[in-house]
Amino acid sequence: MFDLSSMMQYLPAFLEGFIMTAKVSIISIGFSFILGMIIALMRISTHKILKYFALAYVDMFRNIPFIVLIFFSYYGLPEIGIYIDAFWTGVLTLSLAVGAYTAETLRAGIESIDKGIIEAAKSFGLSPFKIFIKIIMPIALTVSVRPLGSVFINLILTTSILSAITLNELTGVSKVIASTTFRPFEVYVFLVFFYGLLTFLLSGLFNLWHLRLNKYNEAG
Amino acid sequence: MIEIKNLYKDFGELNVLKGINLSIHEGEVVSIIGGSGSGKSTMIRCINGLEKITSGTLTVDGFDVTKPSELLEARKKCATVFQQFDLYPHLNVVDNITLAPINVLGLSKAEAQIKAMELLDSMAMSDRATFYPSQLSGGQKQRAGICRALAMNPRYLLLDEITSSLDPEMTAEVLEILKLLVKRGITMICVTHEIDFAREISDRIVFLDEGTILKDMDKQSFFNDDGGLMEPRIAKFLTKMATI
Ligand SMILES: Nc1ncnc2c1ncn2[C@@H]1O[C@H](COP(=O)(O)OP(=O)(O)OP(=O)(O)O)[C@@H](O)[C@H]1O
Ligand SMILES: [Mg+2]
Repeated sequence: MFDLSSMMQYLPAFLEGFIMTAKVSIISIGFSFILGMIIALMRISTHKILKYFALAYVDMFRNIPFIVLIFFSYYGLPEIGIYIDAFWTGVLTLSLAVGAYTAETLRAGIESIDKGIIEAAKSFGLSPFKIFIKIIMPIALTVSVRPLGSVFINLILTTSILSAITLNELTGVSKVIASTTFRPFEVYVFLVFFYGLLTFLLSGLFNLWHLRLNKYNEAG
Repeated sequence: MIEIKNLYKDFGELNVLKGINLSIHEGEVVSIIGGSGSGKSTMIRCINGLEKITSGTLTVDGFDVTKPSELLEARKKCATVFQQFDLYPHLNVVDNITLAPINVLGLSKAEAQIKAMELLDSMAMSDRATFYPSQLSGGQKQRAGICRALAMNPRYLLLDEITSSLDPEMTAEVLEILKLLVKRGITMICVTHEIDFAREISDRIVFLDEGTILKDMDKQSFFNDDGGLMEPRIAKFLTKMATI
């Protein structure tokens, strides 16, 4: 029989998994955003080496299945003497991979900006850094913020793969509970609920951000 | 003084500026006229360092725009108003005006805003201070653009056809403002197709033709029959402009 109450005793375990998933997601989103900005800048720079490095980077990480990447980092790297725990292996690998998608999404936004606006800022003596922070990013994000939201929701969903490297995040915890209770249906109902909660929160946040950034468009 | 010596600018195979020599002194109002493609915009863009010059020298009050270490000082002395306005679309009018004074000149936000409001007031724009560029008419956009340039306290104001995206009524409104600025003694380098306007406000007229300066004369001589009009290309250009 379908019986959610039997799951109540496992609620603390679920919550622990939830917190782990949230932690990995938030840190990875932060890192991949910073990395994505850097790679996007390199992608559009006129410096040949930087540009091709960024292009190779994006292509590489978009063309390798994430599970292969994570096995490589967790089981492959120790063989050449690099040991990182499951948590940081997960965070760093996710950030590297999602950074590639973030970069492409931001690039699309950056390339939509009218060159004249940037030249105007230059002509007034604003430094490249100030131009990036005060002009390029806010305008690029008005275009990119929604696709970026999807990229980061995907990141949250991808954290489930980290159970494959023994990280006790939501999916990992659920598998253990399912095998001890023999109630996979109820367990996975919980799991769906928790992932839904996370992605719902994130997309709500991105919607607010989108509204804020696009104030000037709606105004017009 | 803006001093341009033997300036060449190529775009690949295309030679756009071919040995420009031009000095502009403080307090002068210089109009640059000439046919389409003669290199007027390119010259303005060289002055504010948006185009890399191919050879020659270009200094603004002694600061060499080709030297990265001096470019910023040169740029602080010149402020440009653009044909397409090029206001920052995500910032309201006041923030458009205060961005560079705060981040380049180091003014406090409050100081910069007071200054911005004064400028807006002088152009009958105070009621548009919190509007976004997309909410302004063309003439209002350009007045905001002029405020943005003036907020830098520039020694030289560079204008590149700033009325050519405007309809006649708005053009008149912007030209009135420029006349006021000239009365206050600002130094202005003004690329324009408004010959009557150039004739009214300029001290000097520079006629650019296919990348070279064909005539550089004070206004009176330029419009005399034995001055600029002696040059057939200039006469032809002026007649053409008059019939538009
Ligand atoms: N970035 C560029 N790359 C290649 N050619 C360019 C570039 N910018 C300008 N040119 C060329 O340089 C020439 C001069 O252009 P410029 O914009 O300076 O002319 P202009 O005198 O301002 O003309 P207009 O009155 O039409 O504005 C033109 O032939 C133009 O095609
Ligand atoms: Mg031009």
